[in-house]
Amino acid sequence: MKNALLLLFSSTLSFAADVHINITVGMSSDTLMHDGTSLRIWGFREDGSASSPYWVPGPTIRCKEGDHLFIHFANTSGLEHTIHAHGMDVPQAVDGVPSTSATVPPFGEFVYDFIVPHAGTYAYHCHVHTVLHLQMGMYGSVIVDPISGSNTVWEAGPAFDRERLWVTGEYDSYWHWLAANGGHPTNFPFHEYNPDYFIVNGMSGTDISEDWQTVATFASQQKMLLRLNNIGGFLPHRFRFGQLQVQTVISDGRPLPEPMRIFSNEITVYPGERYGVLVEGPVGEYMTEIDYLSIYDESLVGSAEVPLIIYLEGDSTRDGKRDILDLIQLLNGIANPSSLGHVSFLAADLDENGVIETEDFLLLLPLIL
Amino acid sequence: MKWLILFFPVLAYAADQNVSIQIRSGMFVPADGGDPIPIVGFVPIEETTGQVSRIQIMLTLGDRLVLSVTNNHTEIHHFTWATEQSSVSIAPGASETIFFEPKTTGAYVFMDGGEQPFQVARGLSGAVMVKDPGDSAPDFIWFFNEHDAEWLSTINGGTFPDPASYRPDYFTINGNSYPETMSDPQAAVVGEVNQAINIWMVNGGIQAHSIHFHGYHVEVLSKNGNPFPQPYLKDTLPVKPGEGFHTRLVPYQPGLYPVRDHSLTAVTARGFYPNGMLVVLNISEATE
Repeated sequence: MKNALLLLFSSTLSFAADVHINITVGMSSDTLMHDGTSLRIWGFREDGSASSPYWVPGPTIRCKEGDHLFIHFANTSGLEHTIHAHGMDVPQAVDGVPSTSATVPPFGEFVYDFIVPHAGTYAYHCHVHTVLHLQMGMYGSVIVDPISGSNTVWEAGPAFDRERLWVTGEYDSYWHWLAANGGHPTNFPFHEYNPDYFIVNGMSGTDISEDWQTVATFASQQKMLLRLNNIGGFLPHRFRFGQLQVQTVISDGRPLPEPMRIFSNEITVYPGERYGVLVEGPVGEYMTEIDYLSIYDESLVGSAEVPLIIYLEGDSTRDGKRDILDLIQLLNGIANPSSLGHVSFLAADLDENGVIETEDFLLLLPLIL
Repeated sequence: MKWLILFFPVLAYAADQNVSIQIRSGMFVPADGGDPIPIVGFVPIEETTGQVSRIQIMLTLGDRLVLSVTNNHTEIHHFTWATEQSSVSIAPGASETIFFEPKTTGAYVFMDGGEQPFQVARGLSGAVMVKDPGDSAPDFIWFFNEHDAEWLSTINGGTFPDPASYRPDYFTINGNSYPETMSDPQAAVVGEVNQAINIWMVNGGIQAHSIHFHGYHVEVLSKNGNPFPQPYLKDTLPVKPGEGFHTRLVPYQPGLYPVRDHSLTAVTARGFYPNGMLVVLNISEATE
């Protein structure tokens, strides 16, 4: 009887669910880069999270293998847009390609619904005039968990304790200036792409290392899963991990065969590719160097850095505290299990390690909700 | 009886496949109505004008390719396999014979290995696809290339541009830009659910291309004739200069699905989008 109950419980846990998310469009916002420059961006936002100042990347959609995902897309802009679920192999009717699927007209609505495939990291982006709309920031990620909801990269695959999602791209500020000043150009100098901002999770330069949802912080006994998503649409991105040997285990939502799960201290992710890499190592503060390479000859075009901090398991300064992303995940679990959107915190609420006291967090909860 | 045993290997020995090609100058006519651009390419021996990357030879494993290359251009050229250092020089007006007996299936790339990367940038590259005799799946070939109009004019004028100045404005599959790719039976994949298809992807240009599939993941089998330890699945496959991939697609749903370079300047022609390196798969329902 006890066993039967247990079985019932676990099978309930792994039931596929309907997951709904409402997404809107913004085309009149500017984003502030690390050097104070303001750039016009176009992006997606989850409806109902209007307090978030962020548009790029769009909200991260989170679901499980086998779930039925409904993206309720409200095109709250004066231009045509779509949502293409990149890598998710969806039916043609909901593929979001203007010529083979459908375009969502200005102020129109569309529901993209499909059964979520294999566990892994995917992207979504607007597929109207993709070369420009993607550059302007109309993209986000979809994370698909194993059907059991376990902390494994795929069902019965390698386990991990923590995760970070690094969505990478670049901005050519001239293109953004053109888009802001000329509306929707139909004859752009697309062969002259000269990016000058190198982006991780919508940020550039020193802003990246100050963002505690991006910095990879974990304990020495733990495994960190880095989800690398180059949806920028133009350049290859080379991640260099210095002294750390990381293991690449999955790409494009499919486990790599065992002989290809190699350890290396660098990996290059080409436009449109996603990789899952596992990181573990001794206590220390490391830096991930990201090289943005020319698509023409792989010469260096720009760079970004993301700290990787491995602390001592049981470090007393961390007892009773939790990493901020864990808290956000917890919060999202309460507020909206489908989404892992940006949540604004005041810098004053964080200590110098980017850690927030649980009590402080509980005080903040009503503000965020 | 002894004779019979000796005789069988002789029967199994392979036939020679004789192919004659030439190096010839010509013009690439951009699909957007831009000015024709001077190129130099490997083309079939009978052609009277040069074209972009028109040599795609299918060979059965076990057979030997006997490739005659005639240089009908005014300059010396150097026939080189992408994965090898040595080359065969061919003077203007001369012909050379290349023998090729591959040991494994896969896509092999050849080019003019001189003055890299300028001769390849002019259009001097080609590929040989080597197939297992037991592989009856239909074959589609995507030979990727890109063209910088300014570079080609400069090289045609007798000087080499600054290598860092490469900014191609036209992108092609088998010499065609979208939508012309759709009327190329070798590129426009037509298939059926559950029926395996070979897709051979070759980069005959000098920049990387990141090929993204809508609708499907493809099984990646080999690169430049080297099989991977196990096939693996990708929806986005980077194909770098000189690389040739053998991939297999077993479509699991019907539909019209685009395949494109996800480095998105390659799906434009200067200001025009969509253009360039883009083709649509047409997969019908299973008939049985």
